[in-house]
Amino acid sequence: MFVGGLGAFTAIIGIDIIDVGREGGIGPAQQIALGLALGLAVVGVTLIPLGDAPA
Amino acid sequence: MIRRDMLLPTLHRVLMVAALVILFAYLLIYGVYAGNLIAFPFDYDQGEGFELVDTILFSRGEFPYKDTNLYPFYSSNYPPLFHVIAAPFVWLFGPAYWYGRLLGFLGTLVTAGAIGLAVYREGRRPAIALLAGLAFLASNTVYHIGPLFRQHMTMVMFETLAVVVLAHVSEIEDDRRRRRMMLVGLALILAAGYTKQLAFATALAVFAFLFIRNPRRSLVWGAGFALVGIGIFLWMNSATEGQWWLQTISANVNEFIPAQTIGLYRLWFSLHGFLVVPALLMVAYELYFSRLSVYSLWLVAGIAVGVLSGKWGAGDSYFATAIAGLCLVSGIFLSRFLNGDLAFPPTNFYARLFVVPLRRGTPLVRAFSLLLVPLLYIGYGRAVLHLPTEGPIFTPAADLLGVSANALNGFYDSAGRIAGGYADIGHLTTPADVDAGWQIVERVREASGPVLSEEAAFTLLADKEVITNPTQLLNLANNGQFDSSQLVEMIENQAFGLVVLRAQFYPPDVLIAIAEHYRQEEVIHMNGFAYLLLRPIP
Repeated sequence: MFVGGLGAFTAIIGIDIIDVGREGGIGPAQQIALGLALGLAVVGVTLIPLGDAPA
Repeated sequence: MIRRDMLLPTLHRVLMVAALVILFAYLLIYGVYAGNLIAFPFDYDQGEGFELVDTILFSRGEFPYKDTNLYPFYSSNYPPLFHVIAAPFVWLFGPAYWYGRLLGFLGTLVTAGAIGLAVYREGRRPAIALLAGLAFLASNTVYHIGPLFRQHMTMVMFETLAVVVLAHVSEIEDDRRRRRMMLVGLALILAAGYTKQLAFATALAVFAFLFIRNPRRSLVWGAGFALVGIGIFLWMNSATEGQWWLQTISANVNEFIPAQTIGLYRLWFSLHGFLVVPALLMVAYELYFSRLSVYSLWLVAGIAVGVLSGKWGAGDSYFATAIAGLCLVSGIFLSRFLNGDLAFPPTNFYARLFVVPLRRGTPLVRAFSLLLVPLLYIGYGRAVLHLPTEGPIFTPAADLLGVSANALNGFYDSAGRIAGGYADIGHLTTPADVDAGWQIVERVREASGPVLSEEAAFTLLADKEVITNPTQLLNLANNGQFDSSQLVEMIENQAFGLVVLRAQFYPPDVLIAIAEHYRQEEVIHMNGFAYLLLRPIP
């Protein structure tokens, strides 16, 4: 989950870095997606202390 | 005199009875509303009539996925199952709204029953199971759309039945029985998907659950499921010469309005927060201290899919799956909370950190839960307050509750006007509305030649051909997939004897052509909406 959330976060930010021709910066839909990706990564981090217990 | 040690259990019972009375009252209001709509012969919610047209086409063995560039410019953007289920009623009773609304209403009762059954199975608390099922029916969103001639709540019914069937499928040891249950559960998901596209979230949640429990089995069944689902899809696309893909997938890519999504999430939480919090606590409990159930994964998927409610044309109905999920999961959590059987393994990192040091407070928490659980349902009952404010029973009830109409036609709704949407529904129709509807039908009958009506009921009841599905034309036009030239040419030639407008959801060039060649001669009010009747400019 942590890796997935971090990956998604990076990918969303990456859209603006790679597609430099885009205007308007990070839009509202992107903000929502960034929030969700960050939330996923945070939950993932909190699961690390539980080890490899089955989900 | 109540003994001191009996005080809390007695108070608990009194509060549980109060919660049940409140939620039963909502069931009665829902029944009155459903009865009123089932008897109403015209469109109530914008676009219902086109679902009836889809049903009529299926009853004739035709697909409703047609080329909208050609007369009569009609197509549907919804999958077929709900309309196929309703089609036999067309053979028996002809075109009418009542059976579609009855099916939608009965579907919500089945969903509530399935929620209650699941809660009882997991928690063995009949009163909580009953409250969980009733809470679903008491939701403003479910109330709004349950008894409409629309497919959404039938999708939610199939989704709920699927997760209830599959919840313990991995634990069935008998191979034949397990396969049978898998087959039934996955068939229900397929049914949900072919009722409305939004069921994809439930399919993802279920396969994630199956994968967690048994990766190999989930991959095998997933491959079979994909084969059948894609096979049906390709067959329909081929049978409609590509219109299935164009009309139900391509045309559904609409403008996304983030403020609408945020507004609807806030509305959803403000109405259902009393049960959202315990439901999310259950998800957290399973995530950190136990194993994830299909119910929790389904709830998370249902909440996540609410993001799509910001699409143009979407609304609070996109939260119906999340509402079913939260009623179910919160019911399980509250049952198990009362039972005191939420286990915290002592070896668990977070249990050692947070739970073990607080163990001494367990009796206090148990006592507190006796009051908290019914109070949550009572609080929920207050948050979702909605009722008609007029009539021999409802006027005194509204006065007693200190509320007055805040929506159309004498209706109080704590949801207010749906955030960012346009669905002003929930009120009861009146005999004056029925008279107004028949007046419009009469004008359609009197008109020479075909009639362009934004709602299908008037042309259907006047025995005239239904021309166009305005919102679908707009969907297609917004995606650059509608060639309006033939329709605009007919309007310019004044080929239509009458035009009936309500929301004016036609593409802009069609509306401009209407404005240039037709003039408004009459306005008839029905259900609080103004129906504009336009005739050719001489």
